Amino acid sequence: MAGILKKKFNPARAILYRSVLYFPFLLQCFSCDKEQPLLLLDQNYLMVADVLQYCQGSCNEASVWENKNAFVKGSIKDVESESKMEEYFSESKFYLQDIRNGMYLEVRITENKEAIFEKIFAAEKSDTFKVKGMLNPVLAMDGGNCLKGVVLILNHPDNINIQ
Amino acid sequence: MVLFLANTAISQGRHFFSFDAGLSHNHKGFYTLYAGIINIGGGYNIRIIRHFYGGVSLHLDYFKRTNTTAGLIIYQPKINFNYDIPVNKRIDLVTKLAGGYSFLRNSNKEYNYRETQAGFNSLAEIQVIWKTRDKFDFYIFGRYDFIYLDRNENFTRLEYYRRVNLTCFGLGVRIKDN
Repeated sequence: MAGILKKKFNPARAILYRSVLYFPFLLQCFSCDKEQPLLLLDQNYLMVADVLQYCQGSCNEASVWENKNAFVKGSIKDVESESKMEEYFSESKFYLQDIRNGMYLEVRITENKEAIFEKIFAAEKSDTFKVKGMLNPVLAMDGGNCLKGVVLILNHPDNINIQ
Repeated sequence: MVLFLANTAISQGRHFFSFDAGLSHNHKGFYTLYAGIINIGGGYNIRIIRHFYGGVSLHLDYFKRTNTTAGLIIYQPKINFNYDIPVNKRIDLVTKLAGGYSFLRNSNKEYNYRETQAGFNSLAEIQVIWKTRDKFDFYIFGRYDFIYLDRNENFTRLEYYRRVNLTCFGLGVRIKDN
């Protein structure tokens, strides 16, 4: 009986089966182990989608990114629409969009509104803008849950440039 | 009844082609605003031993962002292994595991933007096959794909965005050699 069992066992085949079986789970575990390191927000220009995902957190405690300077790049949303841009001008804000996945970040202008919009009005739709600003948290309620998001504060025309 | 079953006994093929199509769904991550349109693909498998098959496959996933010109096509070449578990004369349950390297082609015509990311791809799938006496077997499937994108700091600096999770449900056909 032991002889029959020994003859049937093929180690190479067993390794093959196990590798096949475990490969997807190994790949998953390998990626799950990797923790997100802290981002250097004001050294390289980050894409809008990265900033939106990174700048979240609990409403009950301060996050590491709050009130920090950040360099963000993206396209101006609705730049081709005159009426939208007028609306944004009157509200002292515009949206920086990540054209790769459609996410957008609100940029609030606290000073020098005319000079900043002068730069934006001169832009074309395909232009990418580099913006230096400060990350401010915003809180919103969603069905009883408090969510923390982010807006970028911009105060000088020198801090917004076409790439 | 016994005679009927004996007459409809269906042999296992030595190899088969398969073609399937389904509806894809993307779960969170970088492409969260994209909606799955279709997944189509096919493969070729040969029998290794008894109910155990191995082969290659190629699938394409197409995603789109509503009311925009942005689209995403995922090319998924893979090596796969299937294990057919006979449930009865007519039905097999198939478990399938696969690994490969996928290419994600992202574009937005409005901005003249085009970019390709790539990464290792693993897959787990379950099929329920309805066996026939002809050359064709039919199946329904549910699959889960996990893609771990290569590091590219120009694309993202977040680990979260490197993980792409996809599910797909659909119908397929196996073309047997007998």
